[in-house]
Amino acid sequence: MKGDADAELLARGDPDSFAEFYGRHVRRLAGWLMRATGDAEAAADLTAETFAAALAGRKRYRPDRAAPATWLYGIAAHKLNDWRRRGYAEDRARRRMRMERIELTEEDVREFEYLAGEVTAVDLLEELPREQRTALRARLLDERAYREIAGAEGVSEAVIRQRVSRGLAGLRRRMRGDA
Amino acid sequence: MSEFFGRLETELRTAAERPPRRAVPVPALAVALLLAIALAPIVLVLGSGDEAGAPEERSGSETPEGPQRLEIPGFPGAEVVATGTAPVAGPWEILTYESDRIADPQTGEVYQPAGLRCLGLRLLDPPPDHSAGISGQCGEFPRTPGFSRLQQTVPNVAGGAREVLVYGRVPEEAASVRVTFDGRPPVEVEPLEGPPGESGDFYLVVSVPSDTSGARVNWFDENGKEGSPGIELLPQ
Repeated sequence: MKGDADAELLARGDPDSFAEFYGRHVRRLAGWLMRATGDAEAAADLTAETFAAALAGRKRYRPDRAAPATWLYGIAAHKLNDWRRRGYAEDRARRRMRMERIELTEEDVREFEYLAGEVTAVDLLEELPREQRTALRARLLDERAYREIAGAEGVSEAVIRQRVSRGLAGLRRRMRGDA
Repeated sequence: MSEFFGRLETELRTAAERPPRRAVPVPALAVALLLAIALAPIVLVLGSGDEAGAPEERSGSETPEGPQRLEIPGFPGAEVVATGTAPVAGPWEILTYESDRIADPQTGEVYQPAGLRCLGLRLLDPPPDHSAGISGQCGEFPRTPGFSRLQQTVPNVAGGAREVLVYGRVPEEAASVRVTFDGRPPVEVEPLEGPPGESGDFYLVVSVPSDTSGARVNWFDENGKEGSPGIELLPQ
């Protein structure tokens, strides 16, 4: 279970597998939502709603379309946009899954505030599309030359530069909570 | 130590072990009416601006137990059940409401009974050359229970189509909704989860304008099996 890929955990669909998927992503997602909303109550409601929707829709997840983290953040971004438009977090998925709303303690609020500053760019890399993620990792973390990366990926150097540029823009948006 | 994440995990584990909310059966009244009148769909389109009967601004609010309620003249019991954004049409809302009785004032002939369940689409920020308002339809599609097809075209200046929105109800068992065309790739979307109290889910497919002759929409279950005989799209 620990070494299983996220996509396998979602495909399996049992409570333990989903709990493992949840454990891998929940704090980073909560931090992202906390930065985006600036409100621990809203971030908590959106976190719960996102995972409830992910639980309800896990059998619809298609690995050929997006990485599991991208899929999860797509759900969260939709909920976040809805929150911005309505001014409150919807709870449709939670009600559908018959989940209780969780009231926050003072310690919970402090943890959300802590998580808002905890996320790193390396964490956020995983949310990018695969091609941008690969290009950014190779260029920024492994410090490989553009030409070398282009050769390995079978595309031109210009394409790799574009992927790195777009990947960085995506990271910036995510750091701001705009993604 | 914070409690929230542990409690949320417990809630998710418990939820994963039990089935989700099931569909509410179609009200018996609607079924009876369906059988009795073979149902001619009625489409209402309200224009924007200051005309009498134009939709009011949102004045309702979401209750803790249900979807967002609206107060729109001519659309009793209107509630928002799904939202999204289309490239040309912009942000949209799918609404449910009940039909008003429509009858010929001279003869008394009833064109539409009151109390049918209806589905409508409201464009919140449509392109300048497209009127705002709600288009909708009341009644069921008898050949495809729980599955319906409505359409709204966003026209260009010359009156042609810039974008076609195909939407409707779809059973909760649906994993996808697919529009197939002659001679070009299909368009597929996932259903939009409906709120509690609504039977089934909803969908909206954004289609580029083209000849829709032969185009059909249908829903598919998790195994890729067709859920109904399918419904033809209206011609452009």
